[in-house]
Amino acid sequence: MKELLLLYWPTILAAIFTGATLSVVGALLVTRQAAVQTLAVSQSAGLGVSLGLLVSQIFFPDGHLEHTAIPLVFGLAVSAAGFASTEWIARHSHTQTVVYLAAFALFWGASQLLTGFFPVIESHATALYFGDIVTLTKGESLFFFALSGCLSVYLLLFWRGLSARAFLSAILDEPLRLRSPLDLGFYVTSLALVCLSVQMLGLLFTLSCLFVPTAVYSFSASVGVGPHLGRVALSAGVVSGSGFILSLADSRFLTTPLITVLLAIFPLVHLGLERLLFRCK
Amino acid sequence: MLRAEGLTYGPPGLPPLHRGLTVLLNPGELLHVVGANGTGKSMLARTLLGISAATEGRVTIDFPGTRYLPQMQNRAAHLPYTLGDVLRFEAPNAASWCGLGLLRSEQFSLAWNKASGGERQRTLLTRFFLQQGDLLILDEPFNHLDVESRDIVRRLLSETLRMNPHSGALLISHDDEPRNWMGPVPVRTLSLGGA
Repeated sequence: MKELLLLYWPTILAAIFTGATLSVVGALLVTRQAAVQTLAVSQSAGLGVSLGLLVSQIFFPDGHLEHTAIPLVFGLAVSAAGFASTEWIARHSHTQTVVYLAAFALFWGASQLLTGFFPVIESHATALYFGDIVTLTKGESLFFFALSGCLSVYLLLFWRGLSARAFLSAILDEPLRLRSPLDLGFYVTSLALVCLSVQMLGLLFTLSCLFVPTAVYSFSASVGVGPHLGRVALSAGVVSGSGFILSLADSRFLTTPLITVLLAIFPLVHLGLERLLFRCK
Repeated sequence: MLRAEGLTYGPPGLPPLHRGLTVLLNPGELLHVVGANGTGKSMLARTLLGISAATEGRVTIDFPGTRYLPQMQNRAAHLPYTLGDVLRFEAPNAASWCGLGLLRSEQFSLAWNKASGGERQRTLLTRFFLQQGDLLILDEPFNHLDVESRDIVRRLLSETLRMNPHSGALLISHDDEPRNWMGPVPVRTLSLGGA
């Protein structure tokens, strides 16, 4: 086990920081009523990566498909286009959720269609949905650690302003101001992290970290934006790291499904203990 | 000065609510916008501020800084904001929050999602009056308020315009007559019909 920990320490760091950062981004996105849009954009990132894998296969037939920069570039480009198109259509529609769900289905269908025509990318496309943190190289792990570390510093510095903007958007119907540096910074960095996480860590890990902790902690009796964001970050970080280590200890534990389940159990136990202590007082 | 000329606006994809509308607000005065439900009062405010796009016309705003109180939708938020959180975004110094008389200090720790409509509106109004900006746009500020709170808002608005003659206010309200409480501040009325 010690050898495994020494081998995987960069990946454990990447899992902790990416999980924690995604959970805070998710809480802010849900408040901005962008959860379903994120689902659609994540799926569009998947479509982009599949396209990129196909292009990689055409131009570099002997290389490792998933390790070239082409899927990454395609993933970023298609998810940016997915974000822009869903944003534009939703602004001209009175039923935004339906538009986002339709876009999600469309991107999913297009990905499957592509896989059907080009079976060579099938195994990579499957890995895209369920991901496996174990397969990250040391370089990729350190890259994720650096990227999520930078975004977490941005979130630490500007969480008050970002949650204020989220409040205005949710309660007062103020539209997003992409010309505002704060909103622009949040959307660009979040989009990049979500897209890269979908490509390298999988759709299930990404969506679980984004939405499970904030959903469970929304049942908490305690109030305050800071405590909520702190709790989701802490639980997602602890669970992503410990879930990964547990899956190393026992190979029957599939890494991402285990992390997904623990992302719900950890906050539930925390909230249960909190209520118990409150009643005992 | 706020000036809009030849303003044509309405919901996207539907016929315009108004064509060629002229709106003028000079410093030191209050423009009272009245009209029945659905006549486009809130949309006028959003169009003047550039939040909604006008089909035709030009809007010029010379006031330094704008404060905008949109009509409250009385929604819950996903994040567990306290009333204090909402105010802290605007004014970090909690001592200034009580001075306006709309909220008591024990209400600052109250959850937004559990607060009444009146408490929510008083929080948004406190936030509004703590902001900087000479152009004040208020969309139905008296909704959800009791008589005492309405009087405080009227006093705060009147004082703001009297103490700063460079400021001007656009008030959307269909159940109040500002001439009765604005004192020496000139009040003009813009009717969008149906009232």
